[in-house]
Amino acid sequence: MSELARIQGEFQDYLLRGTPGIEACVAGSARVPIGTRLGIYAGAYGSRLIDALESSYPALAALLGEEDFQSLGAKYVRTHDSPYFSIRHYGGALAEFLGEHADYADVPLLAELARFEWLLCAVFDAADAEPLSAAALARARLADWPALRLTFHPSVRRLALRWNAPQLWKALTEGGERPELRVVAEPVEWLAWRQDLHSYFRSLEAAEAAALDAARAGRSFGELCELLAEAHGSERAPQEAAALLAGWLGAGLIVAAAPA
Amino acid sequence: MLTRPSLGFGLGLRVDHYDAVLAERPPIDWFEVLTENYLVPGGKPLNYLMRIRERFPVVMHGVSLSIGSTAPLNREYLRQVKALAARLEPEWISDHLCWTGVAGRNTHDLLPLPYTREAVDHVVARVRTVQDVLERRILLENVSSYVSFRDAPLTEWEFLAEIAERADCLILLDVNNIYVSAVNHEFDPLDYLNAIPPARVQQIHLAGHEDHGDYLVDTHDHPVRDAVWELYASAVRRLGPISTMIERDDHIPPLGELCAELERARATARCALEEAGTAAPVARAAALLRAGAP
Repeated sequence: MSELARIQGEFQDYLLRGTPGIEACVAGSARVPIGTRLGIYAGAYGSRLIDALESSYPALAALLGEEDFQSLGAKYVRTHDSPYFSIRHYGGALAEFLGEHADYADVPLLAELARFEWLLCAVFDAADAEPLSAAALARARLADWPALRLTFHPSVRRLALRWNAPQLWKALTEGGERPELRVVAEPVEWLAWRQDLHSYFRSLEAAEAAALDAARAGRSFGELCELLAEAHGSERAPQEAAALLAGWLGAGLIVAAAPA
Repeated sequence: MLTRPSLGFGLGLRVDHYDAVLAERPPIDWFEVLTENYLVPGGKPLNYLMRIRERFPVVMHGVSLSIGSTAPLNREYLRQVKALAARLEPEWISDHLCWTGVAGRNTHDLLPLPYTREAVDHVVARVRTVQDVLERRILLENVSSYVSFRDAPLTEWEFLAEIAERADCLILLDVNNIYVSAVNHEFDPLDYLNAIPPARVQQIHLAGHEDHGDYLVDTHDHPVRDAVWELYASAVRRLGPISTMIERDDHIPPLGELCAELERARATARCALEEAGTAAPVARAAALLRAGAP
């Protein structure tokens, strides 16, 4: 191993794990001893990564408060190194960490709020795509409709939550009264997406969630209608299908529709 | 002439200022953008960036090249930087003379290198590779540092100058970083400045730092300090008109406040050039060339 590689390995071990060794390679002065000098780097490493967590998880940070969030961040940083060239991607395992760590696991809302916030990060800078207009879809030939497959906007994300974390997120980030925390037996289905550079989320009824998931999985419009007939009866299914499709188009969720 | 004519006086583009930049047409000549912030698939950051690009020249400034690391160059990173550059058409691309991690880790910090022959050779080879991949010269910026290494025989300015000459790359001279390191390592910042080959310097950074009494920390969360303004004037006297920008990364004030600080940079440079004009024919010639005159 080269001398340079050895120095870099020891320096990094010191920053990431506090492992001693690098002290022997660096110089101090009477005014500023080695420990102070190295400490500037160690402190900056932790605070930079915690800052990154705070910018991805603003509601969690607001809920916990400065001291508790710093403490959470410090625990996470000690156990999670960054392999990313962009610091924006650091922190994706925070929900899992909160769900498993003894200090946080008994408040499952925390992990759910983190899951929701990380999802919003993905929505925020997902790839762009031009939404399909209702007028463009209306031009599809009637004979093609049963086989139409929908392509969704790259920002579209789905998630199921037992706690009312999205409502809490809204109160924490946009101000307003905090909702009373609620947990439900059956998870609530959520949809998040971006339209015209703005991120949106809303809850879904079970039937819409099932139809949306089926459509995203590549099922045809004909198959969606069958699914809806199971939920609403064959009489109401066409009307429900048309309403869902109109809603999805209006929200900019669909970017293409073509027969398979 | 290796370098391009001066772009004038710029700022680092920050999210807080996106709307003001587009709405107010502020007196800013160009913007420096943080490369990694735009290595994303889409959405608001890229949308604003491309709209701002339509109105202002931009340069790309990265923090994750890790040119001095002994880990292999991150080819995926380079591919993405090159793709962004193809889209953005920046005036130039810069990163730092440092390393950021080894063994697949990124510390997200600009860590100092030992100023040794071994490190010079290592960095020179990597700069050449990066320039081949990106098909352009890059700029390397001097970083602030808080430790120096034992058994490192070169000064920082010798290290930087030799790498720039041998790798045939350009220099982004951060005047604040020179000052911070000069205090922390007890050298004369003018020794540093006077050893830098003027023909290799394409851009200057100005920023604020935090004074801890016995040492300084490069925090980019304060206005530029008086001592750094003085050093900037010395740099302009030596280098002639040169693309200059102010970096503010934390405690970001309203755009107008930074524009006022940029006005001070303009005034400082103007005074320095007038002084240099009467004193040094070489600087005057360099000034004319940089200003784009024949």
